[in-house]
Amino acid sequence: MLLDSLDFNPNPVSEYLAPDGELRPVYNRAMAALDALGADGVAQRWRQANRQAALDAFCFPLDPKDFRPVPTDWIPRIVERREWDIVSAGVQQRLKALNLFLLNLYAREQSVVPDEVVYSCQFFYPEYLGFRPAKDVFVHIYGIDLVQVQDGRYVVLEDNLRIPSGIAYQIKSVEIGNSVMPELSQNYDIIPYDIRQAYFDLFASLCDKPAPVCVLLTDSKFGSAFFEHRYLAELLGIPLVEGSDLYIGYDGGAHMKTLDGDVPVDIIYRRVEDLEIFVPGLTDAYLNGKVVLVNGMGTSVADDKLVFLWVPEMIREYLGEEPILDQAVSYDLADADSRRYVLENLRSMVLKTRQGYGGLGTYILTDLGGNYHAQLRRQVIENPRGLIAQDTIDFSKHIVFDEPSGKFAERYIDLRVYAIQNGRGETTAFPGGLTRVSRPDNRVTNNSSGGLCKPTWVVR
Amino acid sequence: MQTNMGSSLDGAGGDASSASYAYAARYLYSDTVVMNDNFLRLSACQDAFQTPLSSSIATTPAARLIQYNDRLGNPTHRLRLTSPHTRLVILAIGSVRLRNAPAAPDDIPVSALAYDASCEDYLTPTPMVAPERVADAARAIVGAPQSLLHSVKSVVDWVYSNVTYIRGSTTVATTAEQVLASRQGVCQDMTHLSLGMLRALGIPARYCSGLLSADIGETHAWLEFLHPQLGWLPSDPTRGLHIASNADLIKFAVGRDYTQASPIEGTFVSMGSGWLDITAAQVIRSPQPVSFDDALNLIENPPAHMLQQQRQGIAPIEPYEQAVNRQ
Repeated sequence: MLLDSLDFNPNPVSEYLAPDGELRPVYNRAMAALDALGADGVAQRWRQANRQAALDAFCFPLDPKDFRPVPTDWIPRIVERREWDIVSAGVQQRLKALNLFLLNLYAREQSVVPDEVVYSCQFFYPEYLGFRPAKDVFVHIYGIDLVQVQDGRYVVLEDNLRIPSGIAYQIKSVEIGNSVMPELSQNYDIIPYDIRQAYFDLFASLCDKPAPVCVLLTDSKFGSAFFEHRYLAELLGIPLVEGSDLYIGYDGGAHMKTLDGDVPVDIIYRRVEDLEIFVPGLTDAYLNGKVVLVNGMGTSVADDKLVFLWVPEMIREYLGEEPILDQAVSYDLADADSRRYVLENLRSMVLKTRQGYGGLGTYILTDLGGNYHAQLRRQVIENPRGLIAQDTIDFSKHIVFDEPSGKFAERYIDLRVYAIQNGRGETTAFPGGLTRVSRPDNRVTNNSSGGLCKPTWVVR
Repeated sequence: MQTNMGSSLDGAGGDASSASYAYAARYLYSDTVVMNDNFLRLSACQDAFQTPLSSSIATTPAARLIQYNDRLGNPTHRLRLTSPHTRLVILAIGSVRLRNAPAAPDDIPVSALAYDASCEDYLTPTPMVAPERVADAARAIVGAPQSLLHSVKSVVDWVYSNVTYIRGSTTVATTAEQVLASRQGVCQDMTHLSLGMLRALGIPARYCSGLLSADIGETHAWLEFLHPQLGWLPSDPTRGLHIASNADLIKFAVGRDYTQASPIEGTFVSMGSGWLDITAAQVIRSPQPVSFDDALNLIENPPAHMLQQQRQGIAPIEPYEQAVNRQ
């Protein structure tokens, strides 16, 4: 048995081991298949999968000169249907509440989050006040970061509403894994989903025209998520454009330059934030209802780590429901009592800068040296509105295979789940998600911070 | 001006007076700006001694402004422009009713001061004011433990006498500690150094930004210290007044230091750089209304001496991360 060769003490919160230390039953068939391959066989499949990933340009380069596939551990994370049903409901509930919050905010009718917090967000855009997006949807594509804790509950760490990336990585990691190791997947009933249909339905529901023209606006082929932009454009059969391919015409609408003449554009699936830098005049076209943006502008207010504190209140206020998913216990450092508590318990805290993303600006104090503690303590006192604090969570680890050494190790994992909201207000969460794996001795799992990813299945 | 102190003994404060104000600033840019995002603290705030009667802000290019009170209660406007421009004019007008604080009894030893947790913000370090780095100097100046007012007077007098007012000798990023070393600066720097020293002595003190009632000038900075019975009292190290008259000052914002109270704080995106071309403000000591034309006139036809002063001190706002600039 491969697992017999483990030379470490498993983490108490485990993704693949039951509390009694035995393999969780849902993993039995997968582990048996790995055992049948043997250590050499597994290593050979690993090399094969990595080669396939490189050939498919399955990458997330932080430096455009550094071409390398996303480091992936091909042992899948297997989520059972009953667990997924709770996650799925909780994610959709949160997506609906956040969308209603944004609608109320830009209609100047929200009172859940204090004015001084929301209006001071770097990504609050006063020019969108009074604006109502097409079909009242601000958040079309939503990404949420979850971790699993001791009792099996999933806890929310962050919301991503601006331009969440990773859906293509979710699809592609499963696709490569299953093609290279069919022995593993053929024994499972993995719940399928049709992302292509979901996007088509989204676009059609946002526009009253029978066949709207959609484009995907990328920052550039040197951007870190370019693989995803290209993958989705191909999958959906829509043009992949850069800012210079679009312009605002005399009619006030967006147009795309093509070799056969210029084409009016109805929907821009934007994967950039600074509209005016990429397409001058696009803000006005959007505000005048000449073009639909997916996601809407102004959504990133809710990416602010401080606004996160009020999401449970949004769910109660706008949906009249209790939150299905718990979220990490968080502290507003501008509150004198909270600040004192955080400073007294700094060792067990995670500090996050309000505008950080991709794991940047996240400080997990138990993992950091003493020097950092003094610096961060000072930062909390000097600029309490620049950071928030959260309790450090003991979340789950999963097994990873280290191909060069032929050994197994354990790493922390999280789960980025994607959900979609269409113009009829219907929401769907795509079963599974992108499991992100931390670097050794670290809890930060974001790919921007050098983590790995893992294929994720939801099984019946 | 300290003579105002004794004018009222009934504890209800001195006679109320009204004043109007006008403020104008013009930023120029060497290349097209595609995004300009600013927080404006240019409206009189409400406190025990100042009641705003009216206030209004206008900009060119015109923008949709949103107004809210920030965490410290300062009326703040958020101004975000996304239409291309190469200049930005900001005008603010308003009127206030001002009242003097009653005379402060000076019988409280600093050692006996006790404050609740809400004062913590005004005793602890900030990016520009690190009390522990000016603490030795503060203790040397005050000597043996003194009463509250005496301590404030010692610090403010020392800063007034030992820091020379030299326009352009410091930047918006100069810290209290650097002012102590260089012994020169402008009102912002004198205020920062005094704040650091007062906090080091255990006296809660905060930065104030606004206008000084005088001839046409610029915005002013002073401080307020917390008096256990009377609340926040103004003190102006630049003018050497350990108790300033509330009736001379129109307060726009308070903060732990300049960064939270600056009249205009923002960033812009451009391939070029930008600079504050001219700024001017005027306080009219009567309730007569002022208009945006009055404000604009301040920078269209500025007094010659002001133009000359400001032209000497122009510093380009340097690029921040390629196309993004802070102003």
